[in-house]
Amino acid sequence: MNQETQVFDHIICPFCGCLCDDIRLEVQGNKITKNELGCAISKAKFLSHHEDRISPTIRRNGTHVEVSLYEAIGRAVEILASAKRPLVYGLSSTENDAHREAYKIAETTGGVVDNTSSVCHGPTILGVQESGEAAGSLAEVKHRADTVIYWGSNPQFAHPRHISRYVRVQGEYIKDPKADRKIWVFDIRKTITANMADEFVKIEPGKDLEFIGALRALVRGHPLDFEEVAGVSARQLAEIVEALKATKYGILFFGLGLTQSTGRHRNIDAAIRLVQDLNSFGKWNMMPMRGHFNVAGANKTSTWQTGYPFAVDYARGYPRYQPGEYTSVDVLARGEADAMLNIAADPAAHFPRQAVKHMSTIPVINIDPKRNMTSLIAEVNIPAALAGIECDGAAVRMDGLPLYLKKVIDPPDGVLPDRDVLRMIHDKLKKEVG
Amino acid sequence: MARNIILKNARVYDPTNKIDGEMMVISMSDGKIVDIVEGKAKTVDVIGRVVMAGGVDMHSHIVGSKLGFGRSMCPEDHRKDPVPKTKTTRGGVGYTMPNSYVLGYRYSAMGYTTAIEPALPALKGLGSWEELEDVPNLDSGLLPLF
Repeated sequence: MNQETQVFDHIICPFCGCLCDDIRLEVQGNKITKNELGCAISKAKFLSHHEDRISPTIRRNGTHVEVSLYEAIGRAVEILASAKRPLVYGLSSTENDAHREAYKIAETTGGVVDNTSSVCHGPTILGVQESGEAAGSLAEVKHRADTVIYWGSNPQFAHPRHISRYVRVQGEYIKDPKADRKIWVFDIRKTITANMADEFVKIEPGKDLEFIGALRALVRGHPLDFEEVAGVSARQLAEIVEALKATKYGILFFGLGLTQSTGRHRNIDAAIRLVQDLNSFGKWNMMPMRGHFNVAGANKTSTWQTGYPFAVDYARGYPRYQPGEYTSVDVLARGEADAMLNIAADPAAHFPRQAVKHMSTIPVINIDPKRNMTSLIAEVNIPAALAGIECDGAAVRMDGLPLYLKKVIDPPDGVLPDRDVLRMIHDKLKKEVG
Repeated sequence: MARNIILKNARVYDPTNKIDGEMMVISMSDGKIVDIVEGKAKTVDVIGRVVMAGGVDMHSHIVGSKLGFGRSMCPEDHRKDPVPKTKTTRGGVGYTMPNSYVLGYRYSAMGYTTAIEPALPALKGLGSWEELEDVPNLDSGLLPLF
């Protein structure tokens, strides 16, 4: 059968925090056959949309038995209704309307609701809660930045088009993106991003906090009586500070090298203070390199609907927040959760061993489009449509920009968007527990 | 909502019609205030409570990413005013930066039916529309910044 090729322009890629909005797709029948402009990761996501899909299953006697969607939802509701301390987790790889249903489920069951920032940029949020934030848009970076820093972040791997879309590109006030703009990489090793940067500063592992402290001291005009800090010589430190102070518009992009190494939220707190100090000399902003395409959205939806950005507990009938207490890894590692509802994430693959060990002893309900490690150990698996490909929705870019994800093709037969599955679970649950 | 509603013992304030705290009976039919209702009516005794036109707040920052910044930055502030859920209302937090549900409920409790968001960053319109979805009971408008 001769199938017409449909072309979709300006599709938003639902993979990483870049949310590139210029993807051009070709679709034949219900299959995506071409992805132009997308990076390798984007191409993989769009072109393999039909692969590794899951069906509704319930684990019986160690085997995943295929059941109807309604049976799977019924079992999920049973598990949540009888749980004393359910944990709702994930949200970062699905659209905003699905989040709303997750918070409702946590409130109705008196459970905890958390998203992936608790193992990623959670420390960034803690740092902001400590010291504030100098924030701006990616557009501003493209048009104005003459100094671009990547600290503990390797965009060439994790955000492949970040540099080509926002940095090595002409801007309104930056005519030559090579000559008028300098890329600095601060990292513990020479990554592939460091290899293509203009400047690379190698920091001793675990010494970012000292290093930032030294920079701040020099920026503020205090002389240092050290020969070197964090493996960087005093002379090189002075050169770096001179360049930072001479910057007209600077941007500090940072990643897990800063949030998940020794110091964690203290590193971010210090980086925020450094950026604030540098604003005495030029205009400076900072931006966390968000990994998943809608983790920023999860923080936003959680904040306006519960008051708090992640690690939210509803045991008392109102939202409470306490990183370390209501963060998922801790709730699991302490053996506190007796059931888990996982949406659009893969905790079995990414959580520390102690947390995963506990996960394997409690009933896990897994809602995801595809097979992953969590689906292997889940008691209930429920398939979902791929947000931004098989259903629409809103997602938020790493700089806070909300974007509307379009539906390009239909999901597989009988597969619904996360928001509908969660709504069905909540409605049934509400009838049971009231 | 019942087709016909009668409010008894209403203390009415209506400056346009020069009514200043008069105890009255207000009759409503199909969402409009009428002199007399025809047929069966649901009667509500408001026991002397104030009955007035819904308040309109012309300029109130109720949605937007700026609120998100504020809310996210001060968890210690929220802890001062926890708001438990009820059978008909969602839980949340109050004090300086209430969550969206509590914002709507508290405006209602004060007698407001409209609150206008005066500072919409136009590029982020989608985000504000979504957030408005979770502000209950209020009619609203979003005034773009430019």
